[in-house]
Amino acid sequence: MPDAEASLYALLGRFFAAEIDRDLFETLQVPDIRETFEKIEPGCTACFDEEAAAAEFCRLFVLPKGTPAVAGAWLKGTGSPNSTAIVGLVLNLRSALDLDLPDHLPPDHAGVLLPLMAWLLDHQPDAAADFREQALAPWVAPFAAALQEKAELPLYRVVAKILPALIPPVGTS
Amino acid sequence: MSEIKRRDLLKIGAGAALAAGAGAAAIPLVRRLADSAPPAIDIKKLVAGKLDYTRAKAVPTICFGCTTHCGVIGWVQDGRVRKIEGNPLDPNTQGNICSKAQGMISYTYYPERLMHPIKRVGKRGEGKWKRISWDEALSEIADRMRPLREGGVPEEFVFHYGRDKTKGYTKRFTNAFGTPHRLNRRSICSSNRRAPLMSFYGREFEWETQDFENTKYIVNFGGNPMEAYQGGLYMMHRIQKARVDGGAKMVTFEIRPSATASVSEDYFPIMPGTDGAVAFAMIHVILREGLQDEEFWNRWSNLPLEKLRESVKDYTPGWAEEQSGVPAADIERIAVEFAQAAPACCTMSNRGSAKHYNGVQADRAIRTLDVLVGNVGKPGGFCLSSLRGWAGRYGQEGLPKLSQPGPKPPNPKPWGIGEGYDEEAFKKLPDFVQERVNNFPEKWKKKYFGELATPSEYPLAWHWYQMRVGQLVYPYIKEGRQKVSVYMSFTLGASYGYPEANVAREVLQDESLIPFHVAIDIGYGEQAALADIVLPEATSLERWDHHSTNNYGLVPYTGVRQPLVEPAGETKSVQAILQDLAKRIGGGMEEYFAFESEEAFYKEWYKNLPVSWEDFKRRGIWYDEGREKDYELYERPLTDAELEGTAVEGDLVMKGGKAVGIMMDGKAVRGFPTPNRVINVYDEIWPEAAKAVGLPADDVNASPIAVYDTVPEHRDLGEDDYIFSTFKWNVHTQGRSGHWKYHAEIVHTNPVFMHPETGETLGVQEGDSVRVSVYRPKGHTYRGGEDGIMGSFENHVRFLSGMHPKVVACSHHVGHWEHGAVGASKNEATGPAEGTGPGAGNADPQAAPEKIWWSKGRGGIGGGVAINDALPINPCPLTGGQNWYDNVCKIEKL
Amino acid sequence: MPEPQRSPVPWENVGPQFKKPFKQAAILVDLQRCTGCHSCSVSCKTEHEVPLGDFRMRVRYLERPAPQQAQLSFVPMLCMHCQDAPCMKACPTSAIGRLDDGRVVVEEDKCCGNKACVAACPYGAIFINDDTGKAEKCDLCTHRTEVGLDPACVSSCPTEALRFHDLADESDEVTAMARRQNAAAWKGDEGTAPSVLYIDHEKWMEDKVNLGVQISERDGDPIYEQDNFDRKKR
Repeated sequence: MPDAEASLYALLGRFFAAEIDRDLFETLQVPDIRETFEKIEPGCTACFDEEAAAAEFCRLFVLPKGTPAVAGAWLKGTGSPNSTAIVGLVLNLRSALDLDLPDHLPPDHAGVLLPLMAWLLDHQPDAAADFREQALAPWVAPFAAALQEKAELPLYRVVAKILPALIPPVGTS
Repeated sequence: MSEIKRRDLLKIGAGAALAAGAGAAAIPLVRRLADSAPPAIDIKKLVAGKLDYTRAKAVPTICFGCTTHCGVIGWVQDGRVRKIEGNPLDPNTQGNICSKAQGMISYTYYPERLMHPIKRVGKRGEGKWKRISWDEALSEIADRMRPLREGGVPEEFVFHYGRDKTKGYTKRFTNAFGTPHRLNRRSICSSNRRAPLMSFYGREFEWETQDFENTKYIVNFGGNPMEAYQGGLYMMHRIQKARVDGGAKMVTFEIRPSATASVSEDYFPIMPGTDGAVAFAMIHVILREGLQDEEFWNRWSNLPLEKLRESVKDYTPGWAEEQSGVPAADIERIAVEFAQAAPACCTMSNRGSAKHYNGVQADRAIRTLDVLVGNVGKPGGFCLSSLRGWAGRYGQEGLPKLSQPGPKPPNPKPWGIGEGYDEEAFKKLPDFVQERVNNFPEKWKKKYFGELATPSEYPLAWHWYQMRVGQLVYPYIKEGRQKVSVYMSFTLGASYGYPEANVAREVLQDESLIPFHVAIDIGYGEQAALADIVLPEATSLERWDHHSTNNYGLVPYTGVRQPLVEPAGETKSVQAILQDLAKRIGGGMEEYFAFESEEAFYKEWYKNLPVSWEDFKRRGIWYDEGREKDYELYERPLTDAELEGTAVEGDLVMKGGKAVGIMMDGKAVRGFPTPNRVINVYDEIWPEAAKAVGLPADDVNASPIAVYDTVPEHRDLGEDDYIFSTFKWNVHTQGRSGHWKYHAEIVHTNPVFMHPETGETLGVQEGDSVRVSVYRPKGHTYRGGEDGIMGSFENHVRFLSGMHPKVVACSHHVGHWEHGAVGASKNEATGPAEGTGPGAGNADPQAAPEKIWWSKGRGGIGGGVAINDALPINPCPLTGGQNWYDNVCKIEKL
Repeated sequence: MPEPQRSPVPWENVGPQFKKPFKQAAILVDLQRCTGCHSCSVSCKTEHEVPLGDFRMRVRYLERPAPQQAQLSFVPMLCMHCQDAPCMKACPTSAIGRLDDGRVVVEEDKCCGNKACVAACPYGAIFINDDTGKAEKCDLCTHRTEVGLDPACVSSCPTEALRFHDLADESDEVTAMARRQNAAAWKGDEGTAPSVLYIDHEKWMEDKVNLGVQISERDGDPIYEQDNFDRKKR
C-alpha cells in the first residue's frame, strides 16, 4: 500500500498532467478525499462538466496569459535554484534512475515534478526532502497564489490551497 | 476557508492511496528496467549548475532569429540549450552573430510556449480552447482535406506561410495534394527589388552579393544591413572592416538615423519615394563628366549609351534636389566619387528605395549605376553569386548536386483552357479574370494558377517565379475570387502584421469564407488565435532544415539546421506534421513521404557532398575551400562539355531552344542568365505587362527603361501632410520577437519618431500623445484614390534629430495582444499603450510580474501599439510589391 | 571520394590548457566599429541570466552634437575593471577583490549588500541582485576565460568593436592597436585607471551617459524607453 503522503503528491500531479476527467472526478468521491475537499471549498466535488473542465485546463495551463504549471514561470534566473537547474535535475534523475517520465510535458512541469516527488517518497525517502526543497518549494507559493486567483473551476482553487500547505516555501519547516 | 492541517493532507493522501490501489486516477511513475535496485540518489549533486563549457556540448546549426540564417553553434548542458554563438566555420558570417540569435533560447523556453495541439470550443476567435491529441487533430484535418482531393477540387486547400525555410518540403506537400495555393508574403517584403534584379540579370539573381570586403565606396539608398536586411549580418561585418581598416566610404540616404546611417561617412535625410531622382541625377553627372566605363557598358548592356544619355538629360542634380531635398552639390560630388572608385564601388538598396509606387523604377536606376561604371562582378563591386540550392544552375558548375530525395510529386496543372490545363478550376474564376488570362501570351498562360497564387492583375509577381501578392489574399477571398475549404497558416502573422490586418482578421473569422482554419506555429500568436486547430511546432533548435543562400565571401556554401534538443512537450516539426498528414490523407500522397525519419530525409538530400554525413553534421557547414570567388561569372568561357550540342545563332549560343551563352570576341562565354545573355537595362516586360492588364502606358511602372515620376499621393502634399514610414530595429525581427524578454527589454515601445522641428510645428513635445491618421494611396492600386482617412492609431512622440522633417516613423515589432505576458500590451484609445501589469500570470523566469520594469503597472512607459490596421493594402502595379513607405498621414495632438 | 575532413572543430578547443595567461585582463572598445547591434549586451544577459532591469553591460544610443546631430553614436558601457577601483576601496567587508590577472570581482560570500560599492562606482557598473541580495557586476566571464573562451560580449561582437587583450603585454596586437589609436579611459579625470579603454570616445559622450551601465531616469536613449519625459514636470 503506497504511502499516504506519496499518494497525495501523485494525486496532485494528476491535476496538472491532464484535464480533470470523469475518472479523476470519480476518484475525488472517495469519502476521505471528498470530505476534505468539501471542507476546503464546499460544493467543489458536487458536479462535473467535462467540456468546461477541458476548457479551463487549457485556459490555465496551456494558453498564454494563464498560470503555467512550470517552475520556469515563477522563478527568476539567478539565485539558486532556478528553472534551468530544475530541468537539469529532472533529466539527470531520469537517466540515473532510468525512469519513464510523462514525455508530453516539459521537465519542470508540475505534472512531472509532483509524481517524481511521489516516487521518491515511496522508493528513496532520504532524497525526497532534498527534492522538495530544490524542485518544488522555491516556486509553488507564487504559482498557487496566482492559480487561486485565476481559477474559475473550484477544484483548481482547492488544489491551489493544498499545494502551499503541503509544500511550504524554503526556509520554513 | 479553514487552514489546512497536516492531518487533512494525510487524509486526502489515504483516500488517494486507496484509489490508487484500485487503479484509479493517478498513475505512478515506473522505472524502465525494474529488475535492479535503483542507485542511491544525491539530489544536490544532480541539480544543474551554471554553464560549464567543459561539460556542455556545442552542436552547429542555423539560426532562425531573423531571415538571414547565420551558421551558429548552440551550447547544450543538462538537456537545455544555454547559449548561442557563431559558427566560425561559416564562410558567410565568419563566426559572427547578432543579438537575435539568443532570441532562439527565448522562444524555445519561455514558459507560455504552446506545448500541445489545441482545438477551439466556442466561437472562432473567442479564445476558448481545449487540448486534443495529435491523433485526433491530424485525423480531423485529414478528414477535412481528403474529400477536396478526391472530389477534384484540391485547390480549395490553401497553404499560406510567413516564413518557410524547409526549402521545398512544404511545396512537396502542396504539390502532392495537388493545390497550387502555396501562398507567402514575398510581396509584403521585397518583390519590388527582386523584379528589377531579375529583369536586369535573370531569374537566378533576384538578390545581389556586393563584394563589401574589397569595396572602397558604397552608395546606400535606404538599406539598413546594420539592423535588418536579408543577409544584413553577412554585410555588416564586412562593411565595417572595409570602412575602418580599408578606408571605404559609405553614403546613406534614409529617413531616420538608422544604425547604418549613423555609421556612414555621409547621411542625407531624403524625401520618401525620391531615391530614384538622386540615382538618375548621378547617372546624369557620370555621363556628363565622361566617367562611365564605356567598354563595359557597350559590351554588356542592351541599351545604347546614347539612349541612356537621352533618358536622363533632364534629371539634373538641381532637379533631384527639388525632388529629394538632397543638396545638388552633394549629388554631384557623390556621383564623381562613386565613379572614380570604380570598379571597387557598389550601390546598396532594399525596401527603402523600392517599396514605393515608383520604387521599381528607382531600383532600376540604382542598378543602372553599377552597370554604368562597370563594377558588376568585379572585386569590390556589385557581384552576383549563387543564391539557391545546388542543382547545376548558373554559377553552380562543379558543385555537388543537392536535391530532396525522390520521388518528388509533379507540379499541379496551370489553369486555363486546353490540353494540359485545369479547365474546371479556371472556369470558376470571375469572367473578367478569365478574359484577361485568355488574352495573356503563352508564356504567362503556362504559369497561371488562379488569383491567389498568380493574381492576373500582377503578372510580374509571377513572371520570373511565384513571388505572389500575399496582401491581396484576404481581399480576394472576401470578393469570392477563390473558394477556400481548408486554410492552413504556417509561421504566419497576417492578422497582426499584414497591411490592413483587420481585413485579414475579418476574413479569418468568417466561417463562410474560411470554413476550416489550421495554424502551425511555434507560439500562440494572433494568427493562431483565429484558428480552429493549432498545431504547435518544434522551434529551430529542435528541427531540421536545408540551408543555402548567397555568400558575401563569394564562394557558394551550404549548411544544415539540425536539432540540438528534443522538441519540447508535444511539439513537432512541420516536416513531421506534414508527413503524418500526407499518410493519413493517403490516395497516393504517402508515396512522396515514405522516408523513415527526418534525419534520413536530410541525409539523402546531402548525399553528394564529398564529406561523410557525420562530419557534415559535426561542422554544420560545407564549401569547397579551393574554389575561386564568383568574380566576372559572365566572362567564363563555356567548357567543351558545355558546348556539346550547341549552335550559334546571331551572337547567342543556343541549346535546345534556349540561349546558354554568348559570343564575345569570337569566344563562347557564359554571359548573364537572361534570354539575351546580356544585362537588360531596357526590358519590354514592363510595357508588355502594363498592356496586358490595362495599366496606362504613361504610368511610371509601364516604362521599358527606368524613368522617374513622383509618387501620385506626394504630388500635392499639403503643409499638414506628413509621410508615415515604418522601419526595423536590430534587436527585433518582423512581428515575431515581441515576447523575447531581453530584446523586449531594449525595445518594448514603438513611439512615433519625428524631428524636433516637426514637433514644434505640430505643437507637441516628447511624450505627448498623437493620433496618426493615414490616407489611402492614389495611383492604380487597391482602392486607390478613395477619399478620407483609411485608418489611424495613437501613440506617444519621441524626437530624433536624424529624422527627415516631413517623415514620422514607427516600428511594428511590438504592440501584440497575444503571445503572453512579455509580448502583450493593450491598444489604448487615448495615449500610450498599457504594458503588462503585476499579478498577471507571468510566464518567464526572468520576467516575473515585478520584473517587467517598463510595464505601466510598475510606473514604466508601457508596451507597444499595433499599427498595421492603419496601413493600407497598397500593391504596386504589375509586381504587387506592397508600397509601405508612401503613406500620407495627418498628425493630431491628443 | 576525398578524405573526410577530420580536423577538430574550433569549439572543441575548450579547457584549462587554453586559458590565456594575461597579466592585466582588459577589453578594448572601438567606437569606430560599433553599430549598436546589442549582440554583446544580449549575450551577456543570456550568459549570466541577468535579471531584467539590471545590467552588467549596456549599449547606449547617444545623439551626436551639432553639426552631426542627425547621426547616433553607439557606446557599450561596462565595468571598467579599474586598476584603482573605487568599489574595492568603498566596500566595508572587503568583498571586492582582484584575480591574478587584475580583473575586479565580487566575492559573494563576503558581500553584505550595503551598496557602498554601487554609490562609489563612477560608471554605474554595479547592481544589487534582488534574488541574492548581493552586489553583482561584470567579471569578464571568468567561467569562460578559465577555459580559453573570450568574455561573452567579445565573442559575440560581429564587428570586432570589443577585443579581449592583455593591457600589460606590449606585444599583444590589440594592445599595440590601442596604443596606436590613442585608446583612452572613460572619465579619465576620475583617476580610476580603467583597464577597459575606448578608441574614439569623445568628451560629450561622458556627459550624456549619466550612470552609464545601469538605467538612469535622466537617460535620453531612444531605447530602453522609460516614462521620463519632461511632461511629467509640466
